[in-house]
Amino acid sequence: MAALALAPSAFAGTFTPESGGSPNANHIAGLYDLTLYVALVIFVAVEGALAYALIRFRARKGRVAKQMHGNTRLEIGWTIGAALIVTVLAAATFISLHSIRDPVNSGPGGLDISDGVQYETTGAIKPPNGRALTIQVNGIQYIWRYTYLGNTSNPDGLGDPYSYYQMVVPTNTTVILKVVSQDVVHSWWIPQLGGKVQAVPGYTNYTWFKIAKPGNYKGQCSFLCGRGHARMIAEVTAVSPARYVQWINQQKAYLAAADAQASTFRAELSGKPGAAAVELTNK
Amino acid sequence: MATAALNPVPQVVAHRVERAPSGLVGWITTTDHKRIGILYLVTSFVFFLLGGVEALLMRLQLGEANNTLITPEVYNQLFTMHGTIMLFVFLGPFAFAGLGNYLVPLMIGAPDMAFPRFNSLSYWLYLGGFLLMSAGFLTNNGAANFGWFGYAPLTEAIHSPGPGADLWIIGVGLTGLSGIFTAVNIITTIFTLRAPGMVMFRMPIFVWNQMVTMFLLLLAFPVLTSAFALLWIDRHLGGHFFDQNDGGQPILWQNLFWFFGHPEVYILALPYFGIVTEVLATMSKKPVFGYKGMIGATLSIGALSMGVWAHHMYTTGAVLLPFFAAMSLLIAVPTGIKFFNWIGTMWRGTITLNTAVLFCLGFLVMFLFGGITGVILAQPVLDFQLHNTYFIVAHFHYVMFGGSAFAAFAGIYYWYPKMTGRLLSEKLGKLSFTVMFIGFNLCFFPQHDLGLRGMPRRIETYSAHMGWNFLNMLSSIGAYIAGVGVLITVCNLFVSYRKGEIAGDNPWDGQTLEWACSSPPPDHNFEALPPIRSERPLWDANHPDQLTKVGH
Amino acid sequence: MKVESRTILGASLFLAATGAVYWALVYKHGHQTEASGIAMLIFGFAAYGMLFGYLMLQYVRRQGHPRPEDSFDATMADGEGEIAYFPSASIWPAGLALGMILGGVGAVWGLWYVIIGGIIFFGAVLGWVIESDVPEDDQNLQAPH
Repeated sequence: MAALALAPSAFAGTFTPESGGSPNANHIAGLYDLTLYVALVIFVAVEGALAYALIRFRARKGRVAKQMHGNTRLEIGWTIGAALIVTVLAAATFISLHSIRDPVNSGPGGLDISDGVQYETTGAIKPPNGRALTIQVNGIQYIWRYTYLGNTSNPDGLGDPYSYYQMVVPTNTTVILKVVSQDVVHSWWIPQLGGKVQAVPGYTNYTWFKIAKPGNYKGQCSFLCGRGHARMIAEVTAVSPARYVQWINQQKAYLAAADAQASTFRAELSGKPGAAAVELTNK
Repeated sequence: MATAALNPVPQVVAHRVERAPSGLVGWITTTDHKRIGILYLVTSFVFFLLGGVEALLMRLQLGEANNTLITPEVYNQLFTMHGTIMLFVFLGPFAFAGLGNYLVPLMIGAPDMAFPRFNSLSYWLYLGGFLLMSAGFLTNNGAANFGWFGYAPLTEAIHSPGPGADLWIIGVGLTGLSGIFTAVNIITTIFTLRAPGMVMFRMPIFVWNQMVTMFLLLLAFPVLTSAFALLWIDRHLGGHFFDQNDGGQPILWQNLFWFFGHPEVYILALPYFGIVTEVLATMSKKPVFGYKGMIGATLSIGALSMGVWAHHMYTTGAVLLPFFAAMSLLIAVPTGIKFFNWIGTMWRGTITLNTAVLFCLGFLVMFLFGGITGVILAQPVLDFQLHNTYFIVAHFHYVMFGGSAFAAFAGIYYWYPKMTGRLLSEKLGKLSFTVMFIGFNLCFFPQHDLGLRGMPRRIETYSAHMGWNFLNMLSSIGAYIAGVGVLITVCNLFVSYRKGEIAGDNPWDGQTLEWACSSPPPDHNFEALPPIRSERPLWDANHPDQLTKVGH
Repeated sequence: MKVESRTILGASLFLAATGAVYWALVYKHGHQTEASGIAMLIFGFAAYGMLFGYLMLQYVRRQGHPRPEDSFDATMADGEGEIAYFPSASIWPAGLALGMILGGVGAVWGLWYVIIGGIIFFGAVLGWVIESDVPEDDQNLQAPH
């Protein structure tokens, strides 16, 4: 028992999930604490009864075991008791399920999404007012790719700005993530921003977060995806909405420049100036 | 000890049977359930040590941040084979095939298993299965490296080429086949070879649990085998069952695998519940508290375990969360009943605190802890955070190692005298328990917090800035301490085989029929049996003044 | 046989009920693509149901002649007689297993192993069957497989 007794004091306050980044992560931590307290009471009570039985009923000279076979009333009693505790926990978890799965509205200081087309929301989950920033997270062996949807009219994100490894999002804004995979199963997880979702090939999964304060939030792929699994790390950087708009425009400019450069190279390589455009559209 | 009048047993007729050959040939050709049981026990224990070595190598790698001792390829093979070995060829077969073979016929007063040669076939298939899945280590690409639950499409030929994966599929498939044969055999034995008067509700709890386990196995393994068949078609015959690019469904694999996988978890736990029940009752000198309640709980756990598979898939977003959460939480109720009944069994008894009981106590403490983290994980919302982290690793090691494997050690200390005729050294046994208990908790308790801090499982390295260094170091030290504890018992097994105290037929004042024959039991087991009028016939014969109340 | 068959009936009915609830919920919540769980629960229901049916048949056949192991006050004398054939040693199971394992190796590494394994397999089956051949005067004995 030494380790069990020592541990709480050594790691005081840390025996709880990461939270603080997003409201859903905070809800999870709250439910976890509730369950943990109920569980600890049960653990202590049961082990206490066990320890008492051990000390009180050790074999000693002259003592004879009482040949009892059971006690129906007692057995029914603890069955009902156990069922009640489980019911309470189930109720708590069902109630909190919605607050964790369903996105909230963006805060007052968030990105201004009211002017329509630029930031559309997905069909599967959306905040009550229907306005959120949607980013597609694509798991690839062994890197995460983020497509900032809604910057073109293309629904699958073709032509939208993208980034790898680091995702940049505005603060106080509800961000919906469309999680997909193009090869094997991955799992998207930033501990402080709420639970993980699997990226299953051929299937679209959704999650969301809303970050209050600017900062970096780290995480990594949490489903075995091959030899580079341990190195498939991710980072979410929250910046002010103004800074975000600046960043996305810069990103667009970089990508446009890179595209232009690529088509120039392609034209040089093929020797025929018009060919580059044809090849691009065929891609 | 005064032995009451024993009645003759049904006469066993054996035809054209010469004396069993001795030596190696004897072991290869044996059809005796006791010898096959011992083969299973020894083999699976050796596999346990091999799987343990793999675990220690992994802990060596994880002991410090940015360690480069083991390459990612080798690391992935190590944890895949560690999981496969521990789950498919140690924990399961040790109990349901090893102890099950040895004890079920003895406990119900049968001369042998119903299909003795079939039984031998099971064992050799099991051994062959292990050899095949491990043969991958000798190939160029190494052994299977996609985790013991082999999620498609990582297992598809394009992502995992080479014979390692194929050998894994065939090897696990063969051990599954051997498990099905064992299940058929044990169920038939229980249904048709009980001694007169041994009605179902007089069988020891161990036999009941064994029976429920075997029914789970019968349902679960065919599903695994069919999943493997689909995977094989994908890999070699151009199929696309799990290939999303051609209309396949990777999520189908998860459904199929866990429909096998969750009953499998209880296949690895229920027989060990049986061991703990037997040991606690005998050592408290009392009948099992709430005998029928125990059986009811076992049956409910078995039934519920078939309807909870998708709680391994909460984070896929493709399953019914409330349904599976409710079913999973429900399992806590029968498990709780078992706990209360175990404590009830000890209540007002006279408990002898020997090594077998100590290991049972270790089981009670750690399995309860694992059960509580299980209740946390059964809630989808919490599972979103904890799934696939070291919290999960800690949870199932508390259940499987702290729970089942400790109960396995209790079983070893309890039945070794019956199998060899000699007692294991109590001194070494208690030392082994203490060292294992400390090492185990030091190894796995910190892993809960590692998971909460965001460390995913199955990573072979981590950055020094994540704040995981100290806890990992602690965990690795604990793993090696636990390893030393296991080695002490291994020494004990060898030393006591030659030098142990002579046990006699019934060293623990046992209550069930296996203690009614000599140690080790003769061919075809019983020369005489006491009359069977309750769930502990031998106790009634030995203690006429404290008869077990006969209930129907 | 009553307790045995009822236990299995319970498992079968539990799977049927779970399957029905699951089916209804799956369709209500629009996971229509998830058919595997329903299929597996039905498979379980049918598999256990078949076992139950077989045991019930045995039970009905034996009506009026309860087995000594099902009777609460049977004595050891009630069970006297020959139970079954228990060979104490046989090489064929190990041979059969070797054949099957070689077949498995062949699936991974090539046809030659399958051929060798097949020969061993059928040889072992033959040996096993001949060994089981109970002598003329013992035909009332049932040889288990």
